[in-house]
Amino acid sequence: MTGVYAALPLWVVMTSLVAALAIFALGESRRHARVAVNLAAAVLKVVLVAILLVGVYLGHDFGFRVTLLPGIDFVLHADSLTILLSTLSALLWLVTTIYAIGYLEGSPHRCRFFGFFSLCVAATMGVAAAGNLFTFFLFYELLTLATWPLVVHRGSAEALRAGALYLRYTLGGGAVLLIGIVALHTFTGTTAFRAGGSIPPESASIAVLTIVFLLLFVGMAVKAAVVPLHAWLPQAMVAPAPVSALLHAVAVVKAGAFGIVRLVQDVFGHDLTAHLGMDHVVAVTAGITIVYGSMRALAADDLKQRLAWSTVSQVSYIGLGIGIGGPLALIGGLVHLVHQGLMKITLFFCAGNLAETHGIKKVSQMDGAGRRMPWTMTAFSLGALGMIGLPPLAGFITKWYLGTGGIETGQYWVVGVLIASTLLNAAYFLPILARAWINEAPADATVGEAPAMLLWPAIITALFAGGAGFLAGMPWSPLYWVEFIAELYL
Amino acid sequence: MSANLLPALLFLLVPLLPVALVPLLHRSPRALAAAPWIPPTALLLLPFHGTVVEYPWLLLGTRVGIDNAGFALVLLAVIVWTAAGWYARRSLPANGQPRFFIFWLAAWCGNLCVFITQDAASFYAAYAMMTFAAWGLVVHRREAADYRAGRIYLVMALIGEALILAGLFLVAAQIGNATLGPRGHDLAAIDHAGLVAALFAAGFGVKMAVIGLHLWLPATYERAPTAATAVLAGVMLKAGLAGWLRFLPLGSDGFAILGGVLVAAGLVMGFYAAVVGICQARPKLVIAYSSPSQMLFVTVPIGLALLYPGAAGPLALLAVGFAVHHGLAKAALFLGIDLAHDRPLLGRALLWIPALSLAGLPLTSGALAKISFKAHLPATASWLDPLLLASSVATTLLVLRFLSLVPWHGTTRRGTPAAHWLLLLVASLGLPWLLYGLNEPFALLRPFFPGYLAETLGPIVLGIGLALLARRYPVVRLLPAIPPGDLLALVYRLQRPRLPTMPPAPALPVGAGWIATTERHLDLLTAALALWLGMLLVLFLL
Repeated sequence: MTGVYAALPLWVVMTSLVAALAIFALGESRRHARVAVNLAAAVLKVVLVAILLVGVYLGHDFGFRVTLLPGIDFVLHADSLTILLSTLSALLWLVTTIYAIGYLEGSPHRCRFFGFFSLCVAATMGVAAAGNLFTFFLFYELLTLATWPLVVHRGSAEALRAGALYLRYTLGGGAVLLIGIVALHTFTGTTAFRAGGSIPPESASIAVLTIVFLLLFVGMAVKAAVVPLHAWLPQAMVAPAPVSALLHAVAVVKAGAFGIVRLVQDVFGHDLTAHLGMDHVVAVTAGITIVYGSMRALAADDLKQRLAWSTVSQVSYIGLGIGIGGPLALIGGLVHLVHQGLMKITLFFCAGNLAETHGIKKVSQMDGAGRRMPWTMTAFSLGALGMIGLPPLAGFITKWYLGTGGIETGQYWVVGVLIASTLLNAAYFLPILARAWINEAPADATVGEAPAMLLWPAIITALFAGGAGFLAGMPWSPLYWVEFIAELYL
Repeated sequence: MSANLLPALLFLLVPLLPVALVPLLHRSPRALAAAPWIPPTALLLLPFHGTVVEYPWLLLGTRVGIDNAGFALVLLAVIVWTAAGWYARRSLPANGQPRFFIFWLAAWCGNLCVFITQDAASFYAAYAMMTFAAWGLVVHRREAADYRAGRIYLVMALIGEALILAGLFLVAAQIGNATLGPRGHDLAAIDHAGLVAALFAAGFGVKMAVIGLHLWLPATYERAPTAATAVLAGVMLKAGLAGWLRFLPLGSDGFAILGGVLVAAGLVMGFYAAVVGICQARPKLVIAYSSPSQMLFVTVPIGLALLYPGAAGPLALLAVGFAVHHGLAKAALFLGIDLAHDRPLLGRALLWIPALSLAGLPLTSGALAKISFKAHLPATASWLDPLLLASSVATTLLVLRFLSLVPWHGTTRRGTPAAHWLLLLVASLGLPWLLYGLNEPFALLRPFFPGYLAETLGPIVLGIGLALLARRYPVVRLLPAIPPGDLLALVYRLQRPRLPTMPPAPALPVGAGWIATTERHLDLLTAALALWLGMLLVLFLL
């Protein structure tokens, strides 16, 4: 029994994996069975992750280990960091599944879609629970491959082109990552994740360690869309809305950002990273990405494209917090992993609702959208204002901790980056809100809210995003959990 | 526990009530009718004067309570917001009202919370909510000029927010979410305290229309619907004062330079804005300029409180007292412009009272505030006396100019409500006496002192004399035509800059230019990796 309980991370991964296989087996026509499997797996996963969460909080050990080759183990474990990503993706997967069922109502290839959709979540869970870089890599690559069919789901020439670009980038990044992992294993003999770092600092020369770090970082940075490795992300927004939502909020970019966290905190450890001078590399590239992404978002008229550029910018808050170091910045970076996910998934749900219900795809078509879809636009506004970092929403909590963290460690430029990013975020989100709420709708505009299955997911995630900021001081809020994580590293 | 339960509930529910009403406004006429009655609910909080309630689970640990300054400011806010809300219900076109009251209630929620929150993060949250919600009030009529005013308002507000945020980060990096108010953290004892104080002084100075940071004010006041202007000028301006009171190290040594700068800025603005205001041709603009001019009596006491830390307590309360007087009188004036048009008789009979109250007419709240301030001037600052008198003369001229421009020739429209206005007038006449009396009973006796009449009536008589002379020898025609927006207009004329437009012109062209070219090349991963390595190399070399 204890063995079954301790192997909980494995069951969490298997839930989605089995669901994926079941969905492929059920085929296209058996719609009700597919919906049942989908929802049952999603609910089961939330329950399992909840058990895992309580267990980790109580200090229980979770682990599952299989030796594949001498010296190379397949390890799943659960620490507080695992919980951060797996809770987020379990919750959002449930919400997104409901949304996707409503969104794809009556369209072809749903079996393929939901199968890969589940596979994608299984991979994300694996990324969260991986106990060493090798296991991490397996799921990281699985994620790449499972996401591609989703990106090109529509099958249009544009989608195929975006998909090809996506594959070139992520597989290329994966190859670089693999070289880094092999090199790390060769030189230091370990790739395990341990709080504070697992590799002995004297195991290799500084130059070697630096090169290995850079290889690993580049491998992660491709998925995290760090400039200039970001080009695939804005193009991948041709995917259907639920895919974009998941891609931007929990799956692909988060896997990259999560990898950077693991790399700095659990493989090298922040002390060794700082000794190599790599913490500045992480922080400065993140800072550049934040500003550049926001500036590109300004110019995008396509709503989803603007949101995609915003993701490029916002995900790098995580890297910024990790790179700055220090307890406050670490909290700020990690908590944004959750906050950005909640806010961005809300925004993409709403963008999907606008496009599906009224065919609104461009910012310039959004006049009067607030009158046409009040609830959708309320959720959108909550997400957008949160992204700007307006208190009391979630983005403000992030900025508070990042800004104070930057000052705490004497890196005042961080405040400049944050303020620039706030102004730029305001400049590309506020005009949307002004159009939606102040301007009159065109005379021939249709009025009507999205169907319940599309509307409620957006409202629920918007409430989560609002609550994460407004109730940040509450026990079990994201901030509370991240402070719990930070204890581990300080 | 039960003794604390009631305030804990009330301090949570009263600010949340307006937010709860927002989603109903578009669908239920009853909710819309209830909207102006929301501000009076804040009166429920006043009995808990002195109580502090903590909500550790809210935001970063919220602390709310009503201290002395908060008591006066909440009272001011309730009266002005209620009166202006009634007026908005009666005067605005019905189809735009739900939209107006959405922003109205959000701004009210933020405004109330600014006056009652006592920790840094929640204060900032409330402040930002108020500032941004007020934008919706400014652009309510949705004409091009409204959007222009709204744009200027937003740009200046964002500059202020950025300054405040930088200050907050500096504080929070050292002591976390600072506790403010009487028993709060000592913001004078932290590192970089001088820089922090300067950031807060300038950041909240945007709201207080400190000279140079006032560019948003004239356009905003002119374009906003009158009801919104009344709350903007009457109450929201004072949120800047609340920020100063909470965040400036009043009562600590070592901030004399900042204090001196504030005193100087207050004095310069007092006269500059009066002159520019007199040169305006529309009554709403004239009275708009009187706000930054009158803020002399708020900015100077705060500056003096930094210069003379020993006298900081009374000086801060004097600034609050003046804020209450000014808020009530100013709201009465803005709402009075329309009243004078629709009810000329009533207007002619009464509008001069709040106008001359600003100038310090004997027995009005203006005289009370000004005389009390003079009585508390530190001895070494008595050189300010003649300047304060001169400013009263300038104010007299300004309000006379206002009264001469008010459109008196409208026809009486029966049924035009005046109750809101009379409420404001009565409050403006009575409330400051009550507050000053509670604080310092001696203040009530000052009118019986010899010299009171000369001191208060003198500047007004001088002002009226000057105005009559100006009429006799019409220098009015010689007045330079200073366009509304003074410095901003000058900047426009000098170089015709383009303020960042919203929605912004594409800063980076998508189809052309080197960035697009680079993006295209980035389709090749190899190019991206090469660029990446190049960037790393540059980073290393740095």
